[in-house]
Amino acid sequence: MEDCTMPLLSIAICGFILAFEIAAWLLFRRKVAGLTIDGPDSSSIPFFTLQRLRVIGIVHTVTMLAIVIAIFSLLW
Amino acid sequence: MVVDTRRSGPTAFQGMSRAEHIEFYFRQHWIRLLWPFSRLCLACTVIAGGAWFVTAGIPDASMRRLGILALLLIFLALQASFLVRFYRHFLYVIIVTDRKIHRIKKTFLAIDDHQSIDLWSLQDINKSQRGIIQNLFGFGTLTLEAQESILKIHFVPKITKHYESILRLQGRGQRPIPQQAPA
Repeated sequence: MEDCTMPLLSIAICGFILAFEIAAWLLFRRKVAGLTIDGPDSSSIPFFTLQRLRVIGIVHTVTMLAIVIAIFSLLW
Repeated sequence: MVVDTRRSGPTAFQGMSRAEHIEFYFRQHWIRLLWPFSRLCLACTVIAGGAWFVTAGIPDASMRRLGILALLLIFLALQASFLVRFYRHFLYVIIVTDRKIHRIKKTFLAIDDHQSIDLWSLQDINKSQRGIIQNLFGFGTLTLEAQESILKIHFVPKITKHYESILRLQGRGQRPIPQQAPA
């Protein structure tokens, strides 16, 4: 019983992280639609464009998943 | 008439009228995120210390696992909270057109505010920077007073530049947007 607890738990937590990150990004995209996040013209594109925010979101997701997997693998 | 942003190009935003032209826009100063980020780093440091204590100090394997799991869940909750706070930073926008100043403030679920004030109806435009930090980093509060309303915008970045730009726009003496006659 205890042998399958760790993988199940890690899968559950990773699944929750993935679901949360995707939901957060989708909610953000929905809310940001119609705001001038990318600038009205090319000369005023701000540092944080939608594309860069998407990359930040992906990097954050991957980092969290890696931390969870590392903790379950090394410290459990 | 409000422009439907789904059919408009990238220069339109929600609540924009056809006769308006975007002059500039800005979000709150990045320093607004500094405290939440510092709090996250501090909490992560404490959690890391707790994890070290749990792994080294607790001999019982099941208690150790419980401790690690609890710390992991707290860490993930803190990360999620900061991520939401980070995204929310980009949902607070001040858009200045040649006719109006729009303050759009949204959260993921609970808040969707849009306040706008006509440039021509402004009676007072005040800029205030209090303290060393605000003067050092160039941000402050803009207070826009019209006849029956006051709009305060906090953490305005490059406040002197934006203040002067708004004064210049107001000085142009834009006329109010003409209302369409009913059919």
